[in-house]
Amino acid sequence: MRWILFILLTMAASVLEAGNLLNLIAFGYGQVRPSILLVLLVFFALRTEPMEAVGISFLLGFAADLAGPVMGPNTVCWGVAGSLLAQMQGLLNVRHSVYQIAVVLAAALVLMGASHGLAVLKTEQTGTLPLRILLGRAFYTAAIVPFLWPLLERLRPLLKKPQPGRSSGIRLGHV
Amino acid sequence: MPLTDAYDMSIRKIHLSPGLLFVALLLAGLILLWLPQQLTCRLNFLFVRVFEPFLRLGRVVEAQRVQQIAGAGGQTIDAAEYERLWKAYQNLSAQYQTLHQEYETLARFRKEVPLPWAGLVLAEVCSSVRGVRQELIINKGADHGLAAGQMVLSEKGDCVLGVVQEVSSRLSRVRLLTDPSMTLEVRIRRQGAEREYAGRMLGDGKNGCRIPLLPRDYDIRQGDVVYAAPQPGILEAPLVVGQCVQVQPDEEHPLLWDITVRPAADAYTQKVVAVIVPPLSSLEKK
Repeated sequence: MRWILFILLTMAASVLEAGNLLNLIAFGYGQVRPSILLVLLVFFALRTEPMEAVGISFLLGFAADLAGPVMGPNTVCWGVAGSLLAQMQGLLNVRHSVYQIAVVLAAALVLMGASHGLAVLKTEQTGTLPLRILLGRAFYTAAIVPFLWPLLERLRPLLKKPQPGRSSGIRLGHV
Repeated sequence: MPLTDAYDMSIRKIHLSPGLLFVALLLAGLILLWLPQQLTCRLNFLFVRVFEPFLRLGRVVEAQRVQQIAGAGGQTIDAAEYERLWKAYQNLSAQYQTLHQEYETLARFRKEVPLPWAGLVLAEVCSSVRGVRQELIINKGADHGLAAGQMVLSEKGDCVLGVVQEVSSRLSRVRLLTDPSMTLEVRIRRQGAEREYAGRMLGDGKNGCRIPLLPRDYDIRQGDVVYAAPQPGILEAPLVVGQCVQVQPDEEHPLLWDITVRPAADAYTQKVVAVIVPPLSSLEKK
């Protein structure tokens, strides 16, 4: 993995997550917006080596925490979920977009609820859990998968470290 | 040697297995979770400070879109002017009643005149958070006299938008009235009526607020004005918060009102906000 490129990609996604640019495609008073970082988490957890996937999951969780108001909940939840997904690479067939959407939707529902719970535990701020927003965000995140996943598939060779002994993109002709 | 190669080499040297890496990172995450919020929120503020231009860019685009939509209809300017005048009138009315009560008290007793508001600190909105939480991040912090708990008003200082939640040296996080974890002591008063009712207003997590647990024998109607209750050192006179848009019996407790309040201003369209800060003399004492 080319870590510098990956960190740049993560920072760009977290700026989008924290900023207002996504409000242009948001619904429900701007509260229901997709989470690009969460799609990145599922994609890289399922499409990279397990060792790298563990580090990537915690890094993406940390980035999600930075973009939000509380540090810690996403790092823990996303790290655990990403590592579990990495162990299930052989079991989950995510070649078809329907499966990709299903996995992202399930991950979004679980992770958004769990990290909200941990955030409430940390800040001790009681408040009603807006289920409508959580469900809306999870479904919207799953809805952008058909657009984002192929883009990430194209981006993956750039992020992958070249194999030693092979030149990047230049193939020698047969002698 | 490139940085990534050095990283890989170091991992090979340490012989990190996926399990060990997972445990180490999980421990780091748990430590981050257990650290006090006052400490870890500095990281969030650092992120906002570093990427402020990019975060602000999104806000500018959104504000332009709102302005374009507003400019499309000819009635919008009049409506905004009406809103401004309505808030000013309601504030004057509330201040008049408070002053009148004070006058009546002063007529009987000599007392020290309370200190007026020390002043307002104007702050630009860097970013806004919409979602499970509803917050604004503003570009003034502890260095400018801001502290948690202070009231945040609209640019003209004519209505309450929220309360300062966390501060760093140069940035602050403002929890809006509509945030689901927001609670605010309020007074409900009708134009021309002498009696006012105290209540606790909660954010509904959408674009409004609720005032639960008020008995049905309270004479509260649609259109009654909701004010933030005065708090010593924070808010010396009542200030408009919003208006009751729906007053109906609570479904679970039919003897209580369930009141829906529409905030007087949309916090997300504000470019600049004002924060009420305590008197300079008390800051110097601190």
